[in-house]
Amino acid sequence: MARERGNGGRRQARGNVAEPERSVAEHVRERQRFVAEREANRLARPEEQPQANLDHANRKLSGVSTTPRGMLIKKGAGSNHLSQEWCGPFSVARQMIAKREEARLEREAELDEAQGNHPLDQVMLDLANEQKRKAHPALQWKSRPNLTNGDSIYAKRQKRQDVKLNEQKIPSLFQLCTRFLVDNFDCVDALGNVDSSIRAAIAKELVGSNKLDAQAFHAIAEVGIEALELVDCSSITQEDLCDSLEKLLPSGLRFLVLDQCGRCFGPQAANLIVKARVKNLFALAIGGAYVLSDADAASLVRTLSSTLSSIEFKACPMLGKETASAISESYSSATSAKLLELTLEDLPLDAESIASLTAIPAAFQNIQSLGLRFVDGLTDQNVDEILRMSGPTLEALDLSGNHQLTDSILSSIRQNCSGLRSLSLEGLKQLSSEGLEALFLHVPGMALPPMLRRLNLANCDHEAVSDEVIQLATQAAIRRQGDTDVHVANMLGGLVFLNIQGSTRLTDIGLEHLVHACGDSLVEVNFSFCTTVTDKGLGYLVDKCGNQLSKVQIWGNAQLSDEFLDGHRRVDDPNVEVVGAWIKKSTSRSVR
Amino acid sequence: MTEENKVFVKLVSAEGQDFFVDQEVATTASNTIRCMLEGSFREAQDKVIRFPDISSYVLERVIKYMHYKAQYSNSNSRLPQFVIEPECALELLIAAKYLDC
Repeated sequence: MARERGNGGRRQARGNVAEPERSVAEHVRERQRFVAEREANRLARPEEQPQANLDHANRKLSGVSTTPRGMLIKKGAGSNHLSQEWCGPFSVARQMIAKREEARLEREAELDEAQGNHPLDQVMLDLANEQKRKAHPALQWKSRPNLTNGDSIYAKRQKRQDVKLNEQKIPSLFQLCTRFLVDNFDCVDALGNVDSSIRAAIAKELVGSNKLDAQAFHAIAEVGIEALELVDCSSITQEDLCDSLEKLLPSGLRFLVLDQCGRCFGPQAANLIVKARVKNLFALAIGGAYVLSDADAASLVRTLSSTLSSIEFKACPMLGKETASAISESYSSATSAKLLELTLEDLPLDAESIASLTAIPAAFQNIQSLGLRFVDGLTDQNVDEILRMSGPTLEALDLSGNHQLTDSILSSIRQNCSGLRSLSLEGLKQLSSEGLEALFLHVPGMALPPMLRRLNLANCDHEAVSDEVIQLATQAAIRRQGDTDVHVANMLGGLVFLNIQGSTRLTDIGLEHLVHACGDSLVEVNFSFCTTVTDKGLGYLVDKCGNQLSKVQIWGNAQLSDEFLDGHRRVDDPNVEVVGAWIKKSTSRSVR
Repeated sequence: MTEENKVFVKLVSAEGQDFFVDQEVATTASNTIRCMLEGSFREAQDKVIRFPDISSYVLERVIKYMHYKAQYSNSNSRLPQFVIEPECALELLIAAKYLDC
């Protein structure tokens, strides 16, 4: 233990009484005894304030305070009365920490001594600080002087919410009417000539108050409507649905969107649609139909392929290879419509099914939006094939939830999808920061990085999304090449929506890059569970972004305090919503 | 706001009936009316807005709502319920959707 010996040496140099060299164990025991005694003293007498002592200046006294950043210097004579052992893992640990600190301080002291003291040192230090501040404007952000300093946390939170609530205290006339209609829906026989968005809103409200029964369903699903959109069909029976479909399909139904179907969308309904031979169904979205079999879905796709341009199947556990091959075959024929939108979510498609989906390239020639979420059978290779077929026209890609995918899909995206506008890679834990950097890095000779408007990298590996990734992604979004500092108005796009939840490598520097590149276009951001973002960085972001920024999500960030929440420029503006402020005593900086 | 500064806009229903509403009240309540009066449209110059598909008694209820909202927006008193007659509920819904209020 070099330190012990060093201390002993120092003591001798000071000319103290030359004590016999103590053993290491004795030193440790003495230390621990003293610490334990002092702590016990402090706890036993809470009303006694700890005296201010210049321990670090007076080497004869112990320098250990409650934080393990003291200098464990030998006390000197007077502490010979230890015979007891005081062993506790906590104090040992604390001592280890303190030792580490002391070693660090010693190292720094040595360094200082080595450099010597130059009169201009302070000036150089100031200059360095000034440069750092210029390079990182976020460091200078000061929150507004707030007038709520004396209030309790509850009062502060209430004040924050009041700004928002004032806008919402009075429900809009539309909401009032919808609620009134839904409350008295048994008196309604028919809705008449109502716009489909109004119809959908009423249906949603009905579902919300659990009033969507057969009679209500008949009122909603009137003959002659263009779109049937139901958020939750679980209380409708299959017979009711079939009756309605029988009447609706010939009279011009174009959009059929049924979520959470349950029993109501089964073989009977599917057969009905097949037999009806409709010529105008444009979009079909079925979610949660657990009685819909593979064969039925396949025949559905095949018969509708002449007009259907948008397909969505979500959480239908019986779908598989047949549906996949039906999609692939029917959309590659000359008589089919162009498949513009395909979403397959949470289906048990194995590798073979995906292979049959991608068998014929012609099926994906015109596709604009592709979503393959939570599909087990996807592998890097499959994704590569799909992107090669669909890449040129693809504008929105969503591969969330497929955690078996790795960095190689990023290379496929870069090579094939030049027109991509919206990318969602949520939950892909195997992506690394090098891969993401490579996706957005501008390399002369290679295809340009995708110019995105929406980027979702939530819940990726916590070290994957770093400041460099954000910098490159935002620069790519405005087609800026290299690290130019030209202040031209950003007319070329910029990110609108950014979600990087769960990244522990995002710091204020990343936020600065974000503001610099996309400050005029950013509307919604999500920095939940990003523990290295601070008040200053977020305050700088909210202050510098234009007034179009409307939502900032910061769940799980205990390091943010009132300095940001009450101090940013738009505290009084009801249009900006800061969601997820930490509910604790945010004035104390105890969590760092 | 003093009495001299009040500017009124004229809302004309399908039957041709005129309703005069304070501009402030109308623009805070309805987004559509606000956009009409802020742009470089004839409505903004003449301060007259015609609604050929909203009938008089529906427009009357809408204006009632605008005043209700203006009155209780910034006050802390108990909010009375805004009563909607069943006969015109559906048409009021359609008008509310159009006016975005």
